[in-house]
Amino acid sequence: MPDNPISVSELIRRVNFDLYRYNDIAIEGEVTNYTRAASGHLYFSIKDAKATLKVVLFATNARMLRFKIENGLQLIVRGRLAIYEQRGDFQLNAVTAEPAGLGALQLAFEQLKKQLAAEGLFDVSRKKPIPMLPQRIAVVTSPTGAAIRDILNVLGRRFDGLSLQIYPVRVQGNGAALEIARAIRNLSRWGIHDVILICRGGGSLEDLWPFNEEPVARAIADCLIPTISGVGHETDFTICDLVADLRAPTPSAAAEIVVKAKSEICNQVDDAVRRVRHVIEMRVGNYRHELRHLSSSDRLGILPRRIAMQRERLERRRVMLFRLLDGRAKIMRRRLESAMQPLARYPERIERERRRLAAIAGTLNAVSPLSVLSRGYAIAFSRVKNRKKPILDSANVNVGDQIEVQLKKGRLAATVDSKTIGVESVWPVPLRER
Amino acid sequence: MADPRSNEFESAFHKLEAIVKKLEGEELPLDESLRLFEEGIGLSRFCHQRLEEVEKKIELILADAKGQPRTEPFESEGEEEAEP
Repeated sequence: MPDNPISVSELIRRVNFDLYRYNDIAIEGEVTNYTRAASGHLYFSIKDAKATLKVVLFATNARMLRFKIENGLQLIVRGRLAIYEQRGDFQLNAVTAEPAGLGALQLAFEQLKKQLAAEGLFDVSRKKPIPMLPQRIAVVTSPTGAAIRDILNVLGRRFDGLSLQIYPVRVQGNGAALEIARAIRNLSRWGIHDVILICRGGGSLEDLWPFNEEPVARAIADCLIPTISGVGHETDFTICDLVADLRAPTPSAAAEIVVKAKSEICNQVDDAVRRVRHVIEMRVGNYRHELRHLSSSDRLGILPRRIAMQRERLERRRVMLFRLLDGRAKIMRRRLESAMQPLARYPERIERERRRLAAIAGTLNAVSPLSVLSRGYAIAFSRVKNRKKPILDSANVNVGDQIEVQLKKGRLAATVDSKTIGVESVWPVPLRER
Repeated sequence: MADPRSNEFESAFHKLEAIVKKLEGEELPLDESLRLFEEGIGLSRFCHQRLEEVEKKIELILADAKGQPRTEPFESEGEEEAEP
């Protein structure tokens, strides 16, 4: 006979009490029927070849998972077995879950990597080129960490022409990923840097974890400024490395890239200048050589000689011309002097002339008719057209003509009463007509 | 955010490279070569100027309450503890 019946609640309470020895049990199985409720609780089953067990992972615990649970995943869940009273479901209230085989972080890494790769976030075509000359550099890192120390060591004295601004963030622990992501987003928005270094020194996978988290990956993918990732040691690969435009194996290497970029460019510029100079010097040198060769050849060499010759001829002519002019001037001067000589004797000559004149006047006086008059002769003048004219022939006057007679002293006016046409008187000295 | 100033540098640098190639590669008339030479020297001067123009400094940069950049002096602690 059956016992007195008990209530359902009572039964489940009793069974749950009995199940208390499965209070902390780990079970491994493959995930099926995975769903995530809006509340954040995760519901799924794990199964093996023969059996299935329902599992619930409440939101408070689900938030602690680094990886994503998905169907087909081989999972180790740990928790308490119990019957959900309301439905009578036999289930595991899981506290933790971790992937079988692989570590949870490893799996999380693989999962995010796969997802971001599917979205194309690692594509080479997305990579922004690192500027040729990054001079304003932002470093997202801890201001007290090993990374910044290494970076400053590398930059050291080769620091000229670079500005480094450190955006201080926590680089490990809860919330670090969000800080790093916010820093990257701010820097991208400000747009005052040429390049962003995202750096952290070496550490465990757990230490480096923030650099494997999705917010950091998204912030880097969205960043408008080229990014260089230098996280951990050479063997560490993070999601950050994969999304960044350039992966440097270490923070030092990231700094090296920046410094090298600058010194390499310096060298390249110097090299370019050296090569340009070289080409020009060679060309000019060649031309100079050719020119020298040409000017030493006869064709051109004759030219200077000809010029010299012409110059010499010109000089000779000039000298001749001067000499000639000089001679002419002397001659002219001599001629002038000789022309002046008579002039110098001029006063003497005037005196002589005057004397001659006086002598002539004396002679003239001797033959003057006036001197004849003093000897008693008279001169008869006719007046023809008001001019007095000595009368030499009676034929030249008519009876009745008025004539004038000049005596030694005074004159007579007379009238011709008669005339004789006669022979010529004989006078010792004929009167010269005046 | 492509900085127009770095673009200026890069284009000057590429021009300089092109000039070197042209001078080395072609037999140009002397006048043309000299013109390119002069241009090249000018470009190199510009590049050097740009290389040295950023003031050497290290500081902290943070977001202020309004999300705008704010700088603070940075005291390096790395000097005294010279560990590997």
